[in-house]
Amino acid sequence: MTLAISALVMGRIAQENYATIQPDWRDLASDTARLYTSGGMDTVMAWARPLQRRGIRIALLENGRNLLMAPLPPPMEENLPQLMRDPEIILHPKPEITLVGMDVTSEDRTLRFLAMRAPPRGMPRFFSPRTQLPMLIEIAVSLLVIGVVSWLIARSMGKPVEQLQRVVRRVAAGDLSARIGAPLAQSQDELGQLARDFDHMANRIESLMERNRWLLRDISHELRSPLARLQLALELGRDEAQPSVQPYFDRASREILRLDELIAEMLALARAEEGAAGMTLEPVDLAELARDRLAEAKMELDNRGLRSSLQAPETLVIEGHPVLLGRALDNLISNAIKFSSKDGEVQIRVAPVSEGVQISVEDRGPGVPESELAQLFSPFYRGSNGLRANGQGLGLAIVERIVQVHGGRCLAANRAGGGLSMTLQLPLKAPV
Amino acid sequence: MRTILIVDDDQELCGLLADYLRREDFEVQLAHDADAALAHFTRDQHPPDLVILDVMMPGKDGLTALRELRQKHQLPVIILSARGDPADRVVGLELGADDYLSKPFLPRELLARVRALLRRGGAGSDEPISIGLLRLQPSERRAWVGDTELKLTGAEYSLLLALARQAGNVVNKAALTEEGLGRPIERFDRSVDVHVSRLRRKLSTASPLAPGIESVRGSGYLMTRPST
Repeated sequence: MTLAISALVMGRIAQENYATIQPDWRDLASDTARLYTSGGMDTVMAWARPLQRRGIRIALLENGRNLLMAPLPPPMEENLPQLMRDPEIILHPKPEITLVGMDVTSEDRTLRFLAMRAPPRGMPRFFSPRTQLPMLIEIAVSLLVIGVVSWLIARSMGKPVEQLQRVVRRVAAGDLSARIGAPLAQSQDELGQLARDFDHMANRIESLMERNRWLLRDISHELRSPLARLQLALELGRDEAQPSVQPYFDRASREILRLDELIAEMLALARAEEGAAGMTLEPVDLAELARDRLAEAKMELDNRGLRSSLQAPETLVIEGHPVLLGRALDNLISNAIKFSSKDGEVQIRVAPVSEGVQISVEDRGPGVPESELAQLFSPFYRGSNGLRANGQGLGLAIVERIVQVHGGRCLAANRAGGGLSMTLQLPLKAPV
Repeated sequence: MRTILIVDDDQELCGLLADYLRREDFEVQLAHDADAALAHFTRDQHPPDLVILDVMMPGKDGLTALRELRQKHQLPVIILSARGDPADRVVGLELGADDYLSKPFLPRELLARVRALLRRGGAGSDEPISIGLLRLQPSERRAWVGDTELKLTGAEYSLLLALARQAGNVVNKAALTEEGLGRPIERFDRSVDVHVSRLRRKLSTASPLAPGIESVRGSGYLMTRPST
């Protein structure tokens, strides 16, 4: 913007400068002739001197004779035949040189006026000694003008841009109802257009998210209702069935619960994605969270005859999404319990590390072949010893997604003494 | 014979569930929307003994129906939901449901919960209990703070009774779930916590001097005896 203005102003200066140099040749011719007839050669020479400083040389001829004492400048001399040809002629032997020849009458004498305009030798046209000082003043003035204009423009744009930025950040942080709105979105300039486009985009995103949310709920409802009916129908049929087919009823009933679990996990994964889109950060005490989640799992641990331990500082607060982080921990603990053999131990460690925190959950189970460690977090991935697990293969994918939206990463490794060690590394503040 | 009202817009499910419960010797009434359900309580006929209520219904949803029902009636209510969102569970319990099951459920599980909520108060003596301003009359399943009678749901009453009998001692959550809801505690089961927080509100609203219920981290709840 400033550049455009300065170019414009510089252009004006150049034009103006050019205009002051570009004389009216006819006036100049008649002035010269009049001065000659009234004052003679010396008057003309004195009058012509300032013109010379502007790069203009003049000559006056009568019947081909040079009336002035000075010889004709070389470009004029060289082009003399052409300059004398027509009653009025302008030549440009070189782009920067203008030659003029014209007849002029004064007190019944017909004279031939010749003039040449060329840049003064050794000096660019604009910086002829005469123009140098006003030129600097002009530049100073124009810089001042540029400064003032830029400041005014910046001030008039600054506020709307600031407003735009605020709304964009709110939407990015998950407040999908934020809009720019009037008066900015009604203004006719480019910023107004941008504001309208942004509001339009935000409308679309909001309705898509809303539709997505409804779709998730509907899918959950629509899939679970027939499962509920199926479960009842099975139970009614079971009463009539012979004892030999009872195991098949049990099996069918278990499969229904599995399908239900799968639906729940897919919903949880979808919600983790959705939660990521509309995540609002709050302080989460990971030490507290780990104590809490482990306490929740106590019953399951006891039922399986497993020991548990937790190493954590008193508090360890990061900025994040407590529900999602709790879910990630639950999944890790469930996984550790699932793969533990009897008399095993589930160990949780929460510790600060450089630029963040680290949570690890370890079991004393069989571990995972090294070649499969990397794929552990893929959805529906089942390791070669996955037969023992009864989850649906989404638990760790959910964990990874949650950790990703917190700007962290998941690592899986085999423990030295056997078993699997899952580590989550989280930054102190999730990126928005 | 005990009467169960099933409220669900899924008519096929209602039919199957009715068959199942009738087989278990229950009288079954059906309603397919919230208003029809509430109408069962305004007629002159014998009101149901327990309600199985679906959350997601067209028109007025189950939670709204529950709120309206609770203004007048304290009978046991089991919420059924296909959403299975833990938040839904808490909201349902907050609004005064006694228990919560998500679809699909094991029919035997539902039956066990229905029976547990209907059985009520069989165990223990019927001797009146009083702790400070709080008085309980187990034979009538009624409770008072001073002269004000508490309006309690079945689960709330059972929890209050369990805590009052052990006043001054910590009662763990598993035992409270058994006593209050007649079923074993599950992982992530917040039912007791929600019921206790409702109980606290009702007690302190009746009188600021009513005995308090303290939560003991990691183990359970404790009714404090007044120091006097």
